[in-house]
Amino acid sequence: MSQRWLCGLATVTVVMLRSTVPLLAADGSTRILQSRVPINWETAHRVMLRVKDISLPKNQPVIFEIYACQVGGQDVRLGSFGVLAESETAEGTWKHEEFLVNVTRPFRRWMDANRDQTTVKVRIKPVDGNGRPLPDLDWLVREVELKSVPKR
Amino acid sequence: VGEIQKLKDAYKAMRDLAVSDPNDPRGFAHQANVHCWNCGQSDQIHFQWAFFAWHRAYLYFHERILGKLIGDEDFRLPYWSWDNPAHRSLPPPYTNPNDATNPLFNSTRTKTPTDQLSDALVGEEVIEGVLTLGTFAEFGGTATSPGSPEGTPHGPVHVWVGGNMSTFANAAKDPVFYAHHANVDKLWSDWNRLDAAHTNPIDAAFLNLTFTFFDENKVWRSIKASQVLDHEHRLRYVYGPSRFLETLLCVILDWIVVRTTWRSIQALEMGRLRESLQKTVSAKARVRLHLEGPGLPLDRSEIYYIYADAREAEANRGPESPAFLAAVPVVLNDEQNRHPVRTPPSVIVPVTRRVPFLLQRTDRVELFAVASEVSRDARPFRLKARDVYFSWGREAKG
Repeated sequence: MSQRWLCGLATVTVVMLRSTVPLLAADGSTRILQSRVPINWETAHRVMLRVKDISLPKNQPVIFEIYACQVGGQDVRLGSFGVLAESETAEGTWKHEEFLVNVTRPFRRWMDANRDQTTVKVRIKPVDGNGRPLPDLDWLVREVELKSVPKR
Repeated sequence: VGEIQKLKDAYKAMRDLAVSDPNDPRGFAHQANVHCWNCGQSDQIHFQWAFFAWHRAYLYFHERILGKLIGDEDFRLPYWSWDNPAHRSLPPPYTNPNDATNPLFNSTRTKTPTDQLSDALVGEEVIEGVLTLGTFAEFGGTATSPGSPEGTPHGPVHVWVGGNMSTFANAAKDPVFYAHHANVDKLWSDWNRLDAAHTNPIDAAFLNLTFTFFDENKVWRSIKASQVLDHEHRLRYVYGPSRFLETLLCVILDWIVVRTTWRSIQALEMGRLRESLQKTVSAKARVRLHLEGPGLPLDRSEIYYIYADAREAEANRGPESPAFLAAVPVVLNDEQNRHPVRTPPSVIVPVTRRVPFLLQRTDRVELFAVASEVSRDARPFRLKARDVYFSWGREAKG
């Protein structure tokens, strides 16, 4: 802990599989969606993952862990994002237009092992603050999109 | 008294005040509810571009109240630097002692004093990921969507701490909320410092976002987003160094100064300056304007728009005007003016997109300032300053 100091005075889009996409058998709340590999990802300044149209219960704080699926290997963690609950007693769901995650480095790692791939399966797993899965979480996500941002 | 004891004394005073006078807006419960009221209960400042500015303003007034309660106007909030691998646990002052005798304690946390945040939530890759975002839309969000850091690392730290911290309605009931948000605020400050292209929005819709808080004297105050952008000169605090700033500079720029005639004639003679600016266009270089000691009225909080043309200043269209150069905020520190505002010693603003307008000018260019609030009888006036010059960025060699 430190203290504040007093100062002297590609663009590529893909429609993803909806929430009816194949789910992991082990965990009912994990979602797997698909995005195309963005063009020019190798020379891009950064690669952003847009997670779109999420709805989830207002009373559940969640960390969404995001992975790029790898056949025959360990999935690569792309990042995460967290959403606070509105309150413990809040009712209903709330919708979020988009969460944005910079996945440049981990995505490049994934591509290094998947050079021929043109699409990426993205697995999103909701967990609580202790990293425990939330298998009963009733939530939806409509689409994920990987996008490369060129250098200036 | 050590800094940690001061911090504890301040929160104890704030908690005591909530008991002795529940109606005092400076009491801890009221302070905590301020966040609740702005998280969807009556207003929502999350999930959009107000996120960083509102929380900075919130911390500013909160900090001043804490300082007032212990009679120390130099009191500054700590920041929980969870990005530092050595600081991954809850900060020790907040857990030692880990019971209600500690004003920084909160009984609802789900973490022990030794539990640690993981690299996956706040590690180097996460911090690099947010500090290298190229636009404010990505970093701070838009009018309708959040920036990336709000989703991570901000959100996961809340959820990780657990208890009150994991809900918008109650998060600010845990004193560690303010230390966490001070570090989120530092991220914004670091992002601004990392790259000259990391600029905040200049849209009036953003700059004029207005937030209201009680100050340390129980006075209901309003503050605009534009007034919190320069925390060093306007809000009187700076942060310690960031190791990421040293390691993440992908392109190091040498800034080449382009001197002007300002010192001698208080105007820009376009002769030679035109040639220099033309070169920056050819080189596709980034250009900055330096205003040294701009003479702006210091009697009220205001945003001043600076124009390179008298008629455009009269029209006062803000950033939409081709002659618009900068928005310079002046923020009074308090109503009694006990900490008199000083003219900003130096204002440096990106003007790359404004250069084409200047190149159209063949004559002498004077600068004009006008208050952005047109309702306030805003009349343009000629800007005086110690010096006005430009600099342009050239990629450093070696």
